[in-house]
Amino acid sequence: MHKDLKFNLESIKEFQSDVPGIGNFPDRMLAQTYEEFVSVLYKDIDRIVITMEKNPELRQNDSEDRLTIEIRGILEHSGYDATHEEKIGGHADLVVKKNDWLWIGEAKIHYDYGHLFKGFQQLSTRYSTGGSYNSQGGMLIYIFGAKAKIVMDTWKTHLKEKMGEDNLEFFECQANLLYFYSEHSHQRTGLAFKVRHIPFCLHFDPKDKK
Amino acid sequence: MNQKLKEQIITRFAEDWGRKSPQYEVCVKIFDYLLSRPINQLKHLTYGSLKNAIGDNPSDTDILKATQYLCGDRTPVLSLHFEFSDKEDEFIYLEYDEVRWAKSTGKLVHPVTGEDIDNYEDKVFMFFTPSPLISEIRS
Repeated sequence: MHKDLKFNLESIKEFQSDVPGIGNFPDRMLAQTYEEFVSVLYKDIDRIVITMEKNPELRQNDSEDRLTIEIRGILEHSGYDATHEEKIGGHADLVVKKNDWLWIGEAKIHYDYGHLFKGFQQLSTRYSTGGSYNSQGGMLIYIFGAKAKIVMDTWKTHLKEKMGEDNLEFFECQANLLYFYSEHSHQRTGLAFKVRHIPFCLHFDPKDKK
Repeated sequence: MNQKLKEQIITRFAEDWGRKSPQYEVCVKIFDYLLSRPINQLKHLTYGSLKNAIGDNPSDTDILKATQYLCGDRTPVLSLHFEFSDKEDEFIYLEYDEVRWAKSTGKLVHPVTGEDIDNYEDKVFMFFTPSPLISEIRS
């Protein structure tokens, strides 16, 4: 490509399509607070969601672990210290660390809302510390059924019923209309614990060949 | 040389990329270069100098994939630094906070004159030094 690539903030953007995550590379290095670490991690996860949603036909038989391991691999290639099934109060699905900062993602295929809530409880009360350095986490929701918007809306209602209105707040996610944030008081620390609910829309049922 | 730690890092490259991948090869070559050259020759590694060190004309894509990986927390082999240049052959070191400020405000404060610089992104270059992990392996 370039014989003499100018390695500056502008030029590396040209490689975004060929080098996953390169556009976020400087921000990843510059993160000096937990919030900045999570912010750039979410940009990288959003990119992975887009990539994985491009070929749902290849993922119809994938398990929760298979999908999560793929996410971990992409994050590792971007330089993240990411693990799968790491022992943190139990075997957490996706753990990303930087210095003392910790972000944990709980992955669930959407079978029913009880299954999702079990994952939310694992994330909130088993794996996460709820301290200042682990004040955020994520629900990775693999949706193979149609109409992910309905699934996410119903999940939000279910979560509110289970947690109680007084102990849970919701926030919109500007990055994606299907995502949302929840925030509640962490059982262990009493500090606010913010969870990003991230659907992966993997439904595939083309009508053209029926 | 801490051979055990060196082998652990190379094993991790293989686990993450696969031994037959171009990224594995690039990672190993950069790693070997950092361990074999005198430290005083590694104080300012540009993208071009890494590319020359790798040899065999690997693609920019493969080098960029490897370098962002090698700067990351998983295998912190390289440390990333920033410098400002709006004139050929004149580079001024930038602290991380100066670049963070520029990214949050959209304007870089010129490190010498203090003037605000719009459209600064093509004037902020990156270079590398060996990470503390390299010093640990070399000790």
